[in-house]
Amino acid sequence: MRIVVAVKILPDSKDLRAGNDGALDFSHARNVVSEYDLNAIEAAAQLAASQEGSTVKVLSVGPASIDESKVKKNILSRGVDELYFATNDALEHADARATAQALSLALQDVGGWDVVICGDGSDDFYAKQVDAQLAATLNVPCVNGATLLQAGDGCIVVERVLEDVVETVEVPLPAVISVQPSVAVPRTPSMKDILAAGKKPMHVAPLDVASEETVEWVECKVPEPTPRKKQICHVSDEGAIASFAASLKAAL
Amino acid sequence: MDFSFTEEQELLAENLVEFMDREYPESLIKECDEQKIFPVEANKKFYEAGFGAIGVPEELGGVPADMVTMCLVTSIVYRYSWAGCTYSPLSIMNAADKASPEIRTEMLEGLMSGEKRHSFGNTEPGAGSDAAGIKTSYKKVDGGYVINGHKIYNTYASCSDYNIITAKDPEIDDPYKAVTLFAIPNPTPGMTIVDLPTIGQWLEPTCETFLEDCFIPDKYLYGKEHGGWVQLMKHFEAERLLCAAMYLGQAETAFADLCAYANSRIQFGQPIGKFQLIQEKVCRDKIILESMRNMVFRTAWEYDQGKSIRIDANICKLLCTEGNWQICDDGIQILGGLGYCTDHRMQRLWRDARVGRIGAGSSEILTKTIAKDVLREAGQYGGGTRALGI
Repeated sequence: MRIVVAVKILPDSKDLRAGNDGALDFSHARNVVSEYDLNAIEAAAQLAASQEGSTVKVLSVGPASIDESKVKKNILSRGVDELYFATNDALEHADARATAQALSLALQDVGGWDVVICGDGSDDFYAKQVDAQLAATLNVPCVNGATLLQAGDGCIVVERVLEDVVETVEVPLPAVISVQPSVAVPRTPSMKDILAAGKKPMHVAPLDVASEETVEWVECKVPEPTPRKKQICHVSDEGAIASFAASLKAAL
Repeated sequence: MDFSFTEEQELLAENLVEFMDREYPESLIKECDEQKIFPVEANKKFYEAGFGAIGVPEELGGVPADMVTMCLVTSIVYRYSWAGCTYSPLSIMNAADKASPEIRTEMLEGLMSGEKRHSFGNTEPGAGSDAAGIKTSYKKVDGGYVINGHKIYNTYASCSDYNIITAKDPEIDDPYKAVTLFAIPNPTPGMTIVDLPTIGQWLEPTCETFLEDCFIPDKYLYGKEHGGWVQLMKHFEAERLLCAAMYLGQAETAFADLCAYANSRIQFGQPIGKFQLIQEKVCRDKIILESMRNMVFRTAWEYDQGKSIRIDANICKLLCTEGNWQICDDGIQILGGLGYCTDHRMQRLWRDARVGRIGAGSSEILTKTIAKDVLREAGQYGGGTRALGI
């Protein structure tokens, strides 16, 4: 099975700082793989391991700044065979629609594929839209919320945990599937995996795409800190619980 | 000068930190410390994840790594606990070098999986810093050796699978040519091991070993007969450097904790870190910590370049054990009552730190050795600054 995992490279949220005006400072943030995508990569690696001859390729689209050697080695140390980065600075703040279009275009350079696996959402926007929009662009079926993937005959058997049942779906290939974080725990790459990663194929090329965004990026600011109101309800006072609940409701 | 780690080292460190955060949470180490037990399951997972093989030659199933990487791994592992993990590539290399063909495979498999562990004992009631003054002796008999003697402050001996000990051949006068190493399986009739109560390092017991007409078959001879002293010296400097990296890791944790507390503890309406006497400690400890880091990784780099680290490995050990002690002690002082209570880990770090200044080369012996070697080196260059290398 030829598996492609679509991932997002973004600034590490742990490194973000807020300026005095509330604007986010990305200048000290190093790039990382969006955390939910690590589960998708692991699910793909496990799916590939279950069917001999399978390959796992990782694809990412974004600005030229995503092309960082350490990020690429990190991805390739996780059971991935090949990596493709398609870059265009117009994708700096790409929304789900623009990302899906860029991915569908970049997929042409990846070669043949049977399934594209996406993470549950990205660490920054968490819009959970790219999977469905990518499938629509590619005109293939899409299943989201997968908690288990199994290789079938010309299909993938997907389990999804719904409110009160576990649904099993047989998805004919090619298809786009997005996975829940519980689908697989990302592996801890060993030293051997890390050393081998640098020797695996990495393809980085500019992507000729006109970004068609439907969302306009205006500004991104940290919310103003709200001063504590220091309202104290003593449990021994009459009606304290009701007063506490009322205060909570009022605050919400 | 390039002080940066490689991308591979950074990735390894990030993955290791993630692993240690998950498998060695403070709650686990606190519980193990209180119950004086070793975190067996976490240690097993460390080896399953492949970290235990870092620095071990490929032919032994390991992943070769330079000394900088081994020091990095060691310092990170020891941030989480003192000896809660058996990472020791040199123990594996020692076993590969010295174990007899009959026990080599079994020994290596046990060490590489993290399921088996060796202890080492040279110190005796009458031989501490005077390491060659041991009295434990052996006699060759038909099919093996009979050992008699007494070892003390034997780390982990009661729980180890093999107790590696030194013993002298009484027929040879020169103490440096009389020493032989033996790997005594635990248990063995004639070997009695008891745990000693200590003030720290409770994840591994400190033991006393009595050897009374203890017979072991020939296959437990560890290395060449009468070659024990030379064999002990083979990885001596690297072991001392890795030992320094352990105390560096511990100091990093103590320093992070004392800074967090200085920033969060409010007295007189402001964080105590705003007060100059606290700032003095924070500043001093930062200087010590950075000196430790620089010295350890520079020495590791020198080792990787094939340069002699005879003096620098000793400086690393002295600097890191004394520095760690200072930082942990300042940590207790800054945390005040909280630092003195067993609920916070600072007291554990402080207890665990103390023995560093005593074991594996006391501060006094190291000071004497460093001074002697430095003065000898300066004399070789006939004075001036040429001994500095430039």
